[in-house]
Amino acid sequence: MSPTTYLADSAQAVLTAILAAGQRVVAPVEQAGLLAFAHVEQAEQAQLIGQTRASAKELAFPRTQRLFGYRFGNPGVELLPGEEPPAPTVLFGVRPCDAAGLAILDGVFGAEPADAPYLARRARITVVGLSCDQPQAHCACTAVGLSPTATDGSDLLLTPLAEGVLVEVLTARGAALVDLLGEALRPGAADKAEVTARAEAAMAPRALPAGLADGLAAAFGEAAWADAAARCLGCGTCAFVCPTCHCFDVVDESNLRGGQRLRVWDACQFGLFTLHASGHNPRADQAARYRQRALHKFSYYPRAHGRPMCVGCGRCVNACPAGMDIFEVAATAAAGQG
Amino acid sequence: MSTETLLTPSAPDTATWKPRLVAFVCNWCTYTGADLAGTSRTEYPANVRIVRLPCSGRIDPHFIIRAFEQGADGVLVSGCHPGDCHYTAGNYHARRKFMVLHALAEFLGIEPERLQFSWVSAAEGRKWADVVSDVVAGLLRVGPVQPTWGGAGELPVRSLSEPPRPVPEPLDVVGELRATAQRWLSDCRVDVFVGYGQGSLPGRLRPAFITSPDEVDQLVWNEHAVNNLATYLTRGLVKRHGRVGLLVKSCDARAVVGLLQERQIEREQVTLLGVPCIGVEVDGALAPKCHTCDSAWPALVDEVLSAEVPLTPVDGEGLAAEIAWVEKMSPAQRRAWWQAQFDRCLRCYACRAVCPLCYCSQCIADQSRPQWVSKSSDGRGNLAWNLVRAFHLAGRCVGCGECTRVCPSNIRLDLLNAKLAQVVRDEFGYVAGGDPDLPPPLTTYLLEDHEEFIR
Amino acid sequence: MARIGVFICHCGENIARNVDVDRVAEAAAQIPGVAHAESYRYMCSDPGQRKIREAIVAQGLTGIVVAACSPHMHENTFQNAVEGAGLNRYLCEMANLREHCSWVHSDREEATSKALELIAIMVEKVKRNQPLAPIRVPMTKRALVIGGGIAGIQAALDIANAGRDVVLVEREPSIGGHMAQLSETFPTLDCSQCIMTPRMVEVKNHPRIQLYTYAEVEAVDGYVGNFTVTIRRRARSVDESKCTGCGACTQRCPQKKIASEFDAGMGQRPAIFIPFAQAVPNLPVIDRTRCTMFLKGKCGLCAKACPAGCIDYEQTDTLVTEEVGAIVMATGFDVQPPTLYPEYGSDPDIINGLQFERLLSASGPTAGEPRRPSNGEVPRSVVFVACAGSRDPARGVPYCSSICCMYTAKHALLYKHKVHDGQAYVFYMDIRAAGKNYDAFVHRVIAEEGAQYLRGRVSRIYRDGDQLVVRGADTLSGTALTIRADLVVLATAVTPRPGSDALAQKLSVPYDAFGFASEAHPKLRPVETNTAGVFLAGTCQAPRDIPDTVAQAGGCAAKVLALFSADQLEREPVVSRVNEATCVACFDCERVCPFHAPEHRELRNRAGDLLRVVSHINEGVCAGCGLCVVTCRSHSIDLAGFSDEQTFAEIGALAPF
Repeated sequence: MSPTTYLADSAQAVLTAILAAGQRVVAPVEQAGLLAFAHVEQAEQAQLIGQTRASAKELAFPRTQRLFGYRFGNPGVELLPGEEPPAPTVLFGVRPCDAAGLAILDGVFGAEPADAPYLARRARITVVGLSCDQPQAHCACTAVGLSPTATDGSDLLLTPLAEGVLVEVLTARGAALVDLLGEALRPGAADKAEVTARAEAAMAPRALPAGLADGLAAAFGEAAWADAAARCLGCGTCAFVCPTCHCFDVVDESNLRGGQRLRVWDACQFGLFTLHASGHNPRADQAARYRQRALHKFSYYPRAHGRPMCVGCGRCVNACPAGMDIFEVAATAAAGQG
Repeated sequence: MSTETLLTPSAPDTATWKPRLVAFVCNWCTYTGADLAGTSRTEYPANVRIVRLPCSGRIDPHFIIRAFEQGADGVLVSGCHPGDCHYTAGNYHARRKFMVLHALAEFLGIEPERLQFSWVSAAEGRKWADVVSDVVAGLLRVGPVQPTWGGAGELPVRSLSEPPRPVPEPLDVVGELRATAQRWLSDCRVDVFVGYGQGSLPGRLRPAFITSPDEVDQLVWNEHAVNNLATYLTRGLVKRHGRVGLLVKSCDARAVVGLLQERQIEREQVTLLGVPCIGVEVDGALAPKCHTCDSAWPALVDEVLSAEVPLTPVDGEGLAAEIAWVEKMSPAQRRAWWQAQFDRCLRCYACRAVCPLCYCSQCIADQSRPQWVSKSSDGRGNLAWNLVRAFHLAGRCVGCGECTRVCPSNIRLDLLNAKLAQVVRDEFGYVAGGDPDLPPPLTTYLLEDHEEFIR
Repeated sequence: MARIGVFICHCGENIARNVDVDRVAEAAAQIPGVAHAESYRYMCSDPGQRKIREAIVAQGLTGIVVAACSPHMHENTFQNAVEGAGLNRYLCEMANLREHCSWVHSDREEATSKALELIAIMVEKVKRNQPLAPIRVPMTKRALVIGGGIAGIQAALDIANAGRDVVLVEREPSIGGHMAQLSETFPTLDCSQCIMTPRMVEVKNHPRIQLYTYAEVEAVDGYVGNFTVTIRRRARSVDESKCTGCGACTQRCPQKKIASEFDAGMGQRPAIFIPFAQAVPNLPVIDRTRCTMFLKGKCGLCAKACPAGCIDYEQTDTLVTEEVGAIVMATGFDVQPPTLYPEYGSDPDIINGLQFERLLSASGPTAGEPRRPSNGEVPRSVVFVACAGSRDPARGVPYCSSICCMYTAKHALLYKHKVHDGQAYVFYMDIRAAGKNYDAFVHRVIAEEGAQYLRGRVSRIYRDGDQLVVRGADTLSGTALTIRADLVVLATAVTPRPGSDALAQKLSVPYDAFGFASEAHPKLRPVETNTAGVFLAGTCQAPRDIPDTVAQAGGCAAKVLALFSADQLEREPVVSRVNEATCVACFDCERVCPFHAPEHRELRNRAGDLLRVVSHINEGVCAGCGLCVVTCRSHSIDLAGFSDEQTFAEIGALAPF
C-alpha cells in the first residue's frame, strides 16, 4: 500500500485521540526516577521526552510468560492453558531504534518454527513510533544503518516538526488505527529530512568499521578478548535492556499438585548460560561470553540477515555497571585483524 | 506486568477461610513435645502442619520463604531451649538467623503474627498446644495472605529529611596515583594494577587494568570513580595476571576485609592503595553512602595517597533517616511500597554481579534442584530473590551502595542491606569490614543473644 | 518412576475414632506417585507388617509411608519390616496421624483433612529419599562413669566384671555418695556402710577400673564410640604415691571446727581431712578455702606431722584426657536444706532427713546417739514432717521425692530403738510404700514400734524456751494439734546435685525444669538418653531408692555392653555431604559445626598439582544436625535424610488443592 501521511498538533494530541477512541495504551511513564513502559489512562501520564531505561520488547516478549500449566493426576497429567495475551494494545512513544528492534524480533520469532506465544502477543500490538529530536549521549542508531526518524517496525511514526507532528502511516494496522482518530489527524505531508539531519548532528559520532562482521569472525581466537572482557561482571543488564536480545530459559515450577512451564528472560553473559547437563561449559569464562555477545550482534546475525542485530539504542552502554562499550570492543577486536 | 500463576492461591473466600500454618520444628524437642501433647490428649487447633527437621539449626530461612510462596498464611519455627540443643549449639546459631529474618520480614511489612518463633522442649506438651492456639488466633486477626501481596491505596512519596548534597571537589592525586602504580609495576610488586580510567560516555569513569608501567597514564581519579574495584579480586580474568594492586576508597577497602575474612583471597596476593575520597557522585548528587562515611582506613591498606591530608568524617543521616521513614509506614503500606519496587525487578542480577561479596561460582538463584528462588520476574519471584539476597548479605554488606547504583530499575536495595546492617550492629555488636580475623556474625553466637521475639 | 505405598493404621480406635481412615486411604491413592494405599487396624502388628512386605514385593514399591503413630515410637519397627522385604530401610517414612492429629483434634472433618495432608508431605519426602547404608566406625570399648555413688559404683562393677575397662570419676574426695552417709537402709535395716564398703573396695582394687576422685569432667568431645573426655583432677595437696592414710595430719591440724560435709553439717572436720573412716581412697585432702596455709601463708603443721612427707602445698590441678566409647551419668541427688518454709523458721533443732541420718549413724558425730543439736541432750520427742517441700507446686517442688515416706518410717523406728521412751510423731499426707516389703515395714513402724502417724500438714514451728512448738493437723480425726518437740526432722525434697545441669549440657543430655536428666523414653527407654552413647543411672534422672538405683545401674551396664559387643559402631547415615564442585571454600561450615566434622580436602589433578581446597564432611563424626547446610552460602552442602529437595517438596505438598 502506498504510504499516507497526516499532520497533527502534537504527539500528545495524537495520544489523547487514541485514548479517546477507547484503545488500551502502553506508553513511557516516570517510575522511580526512570522512564518505563506502563499502562496509561490519561495522556498527561505519558512522558514523551527521553529514552526508557528498558526497551519496548516487553509487551511482545514478556519477562515471564506462562507457556502452559499442568495438574498431576494419578495416573496422568491434565494440561492447562498458557497465558491469556493482553487485550489489543497501542504501544505509544516507541523510539525508532526500539521499533526496529521489534522488527528484528518479529523475524527471529516468526521464522520457522514460529513462536506462537510471541506471535499471539505481537498480533495485538500496534506500534506508534516517536522520532527522536533530542538524542542522548549514548545514542548510536546511525552507526548501524538506522536514523532518529527511521520507520522500521512502526505501524505509525510520529516526527516532531517545527510546528506539529508528521504522522506516517506505514502498515495496514497503522491505517486501521488512524481510522479511529477522527479529526485529530489532518491529511498532509512534511519533509522530515531537516529534523533528521539536526538530530543526527547532535549525536556523538560513532561509526562501526567496514567489514566488521568478517573482521570479528576472524578475531574469534584472539587472546585480546580476555583483556576486553576483564571489566565485564557477567550480569544480564545489557541483554535485558536491549531491544533485540531474545534469549530465554524455560523452567518448570511445580509442587505435588501441579505447576506451570514458564519462559523467562536469559542472558548469554550469565556464567551458567551454556552449562551442559554433563557439567561442561563451552563458554567457561567472561572473555568467551562477551565475545559471544559482540559476535552475535555484529557478526553472526549480519552475515545471515544482512544488517547488524544491534539497533544502536545505546542502552547497554548507558546501563552497564562496569562501563562496557560493545561498539568499542567490537571495533577494537576487528581492527586487530585489519 | 506479572503473570497469573497456578501456584499462587487465589484470594480465599473469607467466610470459609481457615488459616494455614506451617510449623518447622526440631526432632528432639518440639516434635517430641508435640508428641507429648498428643499422649496427654491436649487439644489444639488443627490448622498446623509440622515439617520435621533434625535441629532448629537445620531450619533454613529459604524454607520459610517457600512456605509463604506456597500459600501458607503463617509460619511457626520451633526448637529446643538454648542450652538444651541435642547437637549442643544448633539453636544458638539458628537464633541469630531468626533474629535477622524476623527484622527483615518486619521491615518488608510482613505482619509479625505471620512469622513466629518458639522454644518448646520435649517436656512441654502443654506449651506446644498453647503456642499453636495463640499463633492461629493471631492469623485469624490478620487474615489471609493476599495473593498479589501488595495492596491498593496511595503510596507515600519518598521524602528525605535532608536535601541532596553537592559533591565536593575531589583531591588532585592523579600524579601521585600514576607514579605509585608505575612504581609498583616496575618493582614487580604487583602484576596488574586495577584503578579507574576514562569511560566511553562523557563524565564517566570505569575500571582499568594496567599491566605495564607504560600504561599508567590511563589512570584517572575524580568524583565519578564509583565502582567498587574489590569485586575484581575474585574474577578469573584479573587473577590470571598474578598479584593484584588495587586502588580502594575506604568503602571498597572494607569489602576487601570481608573477602579476607571469608577466605576468598590470600593477603599476599593483594596490595592495596588507599585514595583519599571525599565523596562520589551518583544521580547528580553526593551518594547516600558518603553522607555517613567515617573516612577511616582499615588497617590492612598498604599505602595511602596524600596520606598527610586528614579526612574528616561526614556528619549526615544518610540511610538511617530513610530507614526510619520506611518504618513509620504501617505494615500494609510498607508491603505495598516494597512490592511496587520488586515488581520492577528484571532479575538481571546486576546487584549480584557488582557486589564484591557475591562470589559463589553457582548462585543459589541458579539452582534448580531444589529451585530455591523462582526464576519468574513477577511479584512473587522477585520478592523471594530480593529477600534471599538481603539475607545472604546480612552481617557482610559493607554499604558500598554499588548494588543500588547499578540496578536498572532503581530499586532501593541499599535500604534493605542497611537495615540488616543496623540489626547486626545493634543485636550482635558487629560492623562488617573492620577486622578480618573476626568470625562472621552469623557463624558465631553469644549465650546472651536476644530472644525476646521468641516465645 | 516413583511407586509409593501408603499404609494407614487405625491403631485400634486411637486414630480411627477421629480420622476417617477409609476416606484417607481412598484419597491417598490419588496422590501423584502413590501406587498402593490401604488401611489396617494395627500396622505395627505382625500381620500389619506382613502386608507392607507383601505389597513391596508384589507391587514393586519404591518407597513406603506408614501413617500411624509418632516415628519416635515405631520408625525402627517399620524400617525393619521394610528391610525384611528387600527395600532399603531409609526408604520408609512415617506420617504422624496419632500424636499430632487424632489425639489432639476432635473435629473429624478437620482431623481427616489434616491427616491426608500429613500423608502428602511424607509421600513427597519419601519420593526423594535415597537408599542409605549405615556408616561403620571403630569404637573405643571403654566406659566412663560419672559419679561414684551406689549407682556409679554398680554400673562400673557390672561393666568391669564383663571384661571392659571403666573410668570412674567422682567429684568428692571419696566415692560412696549419699549411701555411705546412711545409717541403715530400709526395709532390711542393713547397715549401709557394711553393704556398701565392700563394693567401694572392689572398685578401688578392680584391675579394669581407673578411679579418679576429687575430680570432675571438664569437657566432652566426640560422639558415641569415640568420646574424648577431659577430666580435671583437683589438687589434694597430698602426694598420693607416698600417703599411707595414717591420718596424723588430720589430727595435728589446728583448724578443727569446719562443718563436715559428710556429716551434713552435724559434725566438724579439720582443714585437712579424710571424709570418713571407710573413705575410698583413704587419702586426706586439704580444703584450700579454709586452710590457714593457703589463706595466710603460714602453718604447715600437717606437713611437719606427716611421717612420709606427703604434704605438697604446691600441687596443682592436672588435666587428664581419656578416650571412651560410652558414658554413664550417675551424679546422684541432694536433699534440700530444712529452711524452705519461713513458717518453720530456722532453728538448730530443725534438721533434714540426711542430717538425722548422721545423728543415727554409728560413725556419725554423736556415735549413733540421737542428740539435740542445740544442747546435746537426747530428744524425748521427735516430730517427723513428711512432704516438707515435695508435692508442693506453690512453694517447693511439684513432684514426689519417692524415698521420704520410707526413710521417715525408718527414722521413726531407729529413733524408737535408740530412745525407748521417746515419742515419735510423723505428719504425713500419704504413705508411699510401693516397693517389695515396704508396706509391711511401715505397718510395723506404726503398729509395733509405736510411732504416732498423723495425717495432716504442719502449719508452724516455733521455739518456745527449751523446746519447739509444732502446730499441725490430724485430718483423720479432724483436730488441730500442738506438739512440743525436742527435735523436728523435715523430709525435704530430693533434687539433682548442683552442677548436674551443666554436666548434662556438656553431654548434650536434655534435662527438665528441676534439673533431672531426661531419658529417651519414659516407658521403654528409661536408661538411655537422646544422645547416643550416654546413659543415666540413679537419682540424677529422678528420685528413687537403692534397689531401683542398683537395678537401673545394671541396666545401664547392659546397654553399654551391648554397644561394645559389635566390632565396629554402626552410625546412622543421616550425615552431610559437600558438593565439591560448588564449594567456595569459605569454611563457615567449619566455624559452626559443634562436632568439628568439616575438614579441608585438597583437590588435585592427575599430575598432583593442587587445584583448590574444598570442605569435606567427616561422616564418622557428623551428627546430622544440618547446621552446615544452612550456613553454607552457596548451598553446596546437603543432609542425607533431610535434604533440601525433600524439605522443599514437603512444603510444596502443603499448597492448597
